[in-house]
Amino acid sequence: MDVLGNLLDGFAHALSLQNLLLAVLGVTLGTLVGVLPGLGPATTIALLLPLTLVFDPVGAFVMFAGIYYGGMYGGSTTAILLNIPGETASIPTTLEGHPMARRGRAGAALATAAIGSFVAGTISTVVITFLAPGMSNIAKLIQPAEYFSIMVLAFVTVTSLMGNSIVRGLSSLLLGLTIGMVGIDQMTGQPRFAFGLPELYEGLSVVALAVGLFAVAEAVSTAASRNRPEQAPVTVDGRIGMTRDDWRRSWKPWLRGTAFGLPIGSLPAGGAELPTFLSYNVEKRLSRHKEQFGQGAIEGVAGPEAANNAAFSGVLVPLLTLGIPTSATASMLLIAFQIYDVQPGPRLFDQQPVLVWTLIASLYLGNVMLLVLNLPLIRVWVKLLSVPAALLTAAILTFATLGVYSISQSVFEVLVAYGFGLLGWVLHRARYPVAPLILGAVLGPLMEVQFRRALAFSEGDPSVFVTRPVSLAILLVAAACLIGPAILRGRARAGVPSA
Amino acid sequence: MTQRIVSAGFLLAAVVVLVQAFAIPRGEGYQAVGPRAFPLLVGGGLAVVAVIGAVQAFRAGPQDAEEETHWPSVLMLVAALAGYALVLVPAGYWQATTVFFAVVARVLGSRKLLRDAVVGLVLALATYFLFDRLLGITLPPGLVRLAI
Repeated sequence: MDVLGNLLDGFAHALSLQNLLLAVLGVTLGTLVGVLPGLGPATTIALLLPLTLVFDPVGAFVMFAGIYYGGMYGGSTTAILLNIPGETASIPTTLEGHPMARRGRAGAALATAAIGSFVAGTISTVVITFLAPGMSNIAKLIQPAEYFSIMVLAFVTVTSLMGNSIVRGLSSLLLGLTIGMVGIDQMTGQPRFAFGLPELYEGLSVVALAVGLFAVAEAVSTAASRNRPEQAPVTVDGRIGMTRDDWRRSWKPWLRGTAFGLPIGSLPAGGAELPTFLSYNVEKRLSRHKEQFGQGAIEGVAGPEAANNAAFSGVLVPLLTLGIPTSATASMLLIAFQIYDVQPGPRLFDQQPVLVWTLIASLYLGNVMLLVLNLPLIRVWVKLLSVPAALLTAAILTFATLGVYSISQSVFEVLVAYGFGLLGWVLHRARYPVAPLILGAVLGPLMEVQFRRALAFSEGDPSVFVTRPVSLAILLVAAACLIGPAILRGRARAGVPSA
Repeated sequence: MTQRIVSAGFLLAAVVVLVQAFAIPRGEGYQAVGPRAFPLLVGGGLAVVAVIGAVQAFRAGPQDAEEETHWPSVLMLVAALAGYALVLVPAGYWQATTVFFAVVARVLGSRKLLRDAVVGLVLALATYFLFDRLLGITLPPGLVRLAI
């Protein structure tokens, strides 16, 4: 196990002048797009995907690491200043960060978010550096039936954690699985769900799907809410930084947030929502300033922001070692891998050592750059918030179209993206979460491969999933995650205090 | 209301998925599982959650006030998108994008047409040169190819 040797190798690649510039560019662009209202990290990656086409995979992934962190940090800036969360995991930040900004403490809120993200991101990156290779060795032992069950578990947990209705989450997920099946079946050459359209034989492009569901849908939603008064962004007065008291109140939440985000994110079942909400509730309970919660308690920004960032790094463990994305952002990264014909999974560390270790090294760099670039540049980013919504939306649609067209060179795919944009908007209006849809579409084809492999080994006997003990155990956990929240909610509704 | 319509949409989708899945030939032969097992599984699951979702949506009383929707803007935006996709290749990337940018800004309430068109033109030309000339990703040139 020469993790350190590999890591040094990765740094040697990441620290080349070209890659360093790409990392700076990635962080800057990521923050630039992420700071725009309503655009979370997943949307940011979707919009910036085509830019990476021209670089070699290593360079592209260095840039991606930057975009990933930049997009996330840009999202917390919008959450704090505009009260608009770019994704579910940013909601706790809006609860405390925005009131802080309203009381003239925007500088401290932004600083604790940035420094907390840096602390959490760095600790998490160190941990995954040592954890991921080991996980990858374990992952090599996983058989198809267990692989399928793990994917079921990932789907169920992600779905039951997002939104407030499991039925709507599952509907969205299964629709995504269907979208993933469109096109020619890889194993038999049989067209499925293609309705005789040759354009559909290659399947619906996940890039068009992601750009549509995230970016186009956001634009349609802006158009639909045209008559609503715009909320003026809070101005950032005073210096960006924290007082001695802020530091004293922030450092423990940062560490606790990391302790929630990293392990939960690293499970093939996690995502970033659960740890951020957990962290928020724990900070609220532990704080000596309970009365400030809701009015701008700095602990309520520090903890969830650290948890969010730690989970984001943790999510890379199941993504790289199992090929299973557990958040919308992670599925965007998987799409990026697939564009380069790289399939994350147990063999990734053996087949693409340079790519993986450069990516991990760039996570360290991305974190440092984020802190170095963002704290001084925050005022520049904030200026972006004063661009009129009409122009921003026009620009988002322009870049969305450019992205899909430049990757596919096909007007049909542009129309597909627009279509998914409308679908995403309608689903959002009806309170169906869209993240499970994209997870289903991205992971569905891989899941079907494992499903068919497992059944091929068992010679078609479907009981293989419940007669193998490990597979059964995983499926039982999944079933508990599916039914558990419903029971808890039922009890809460009946007025029984839950533990 | 939206929720009822969407839940009905999911029911319809479930029917289409199941019908299409049953239409896939078994294609078993030497394989234990053909191309149709997984689609049937997904279709069946979709049918179950779609029925539950529809029952929930129709049983629930009037939903809490929904967000007000400015339909004219949505429809005009859809028209602008469709038009943009249609003229993108024949008219050329930067030409179509300039017009599209100004139209979308207008649809979303901007009243400064000249400014929007100028911003659109600058953005369109900048991305055109970046992608087509520097990055080597071909974008439709339109009738008149720029000399530089």
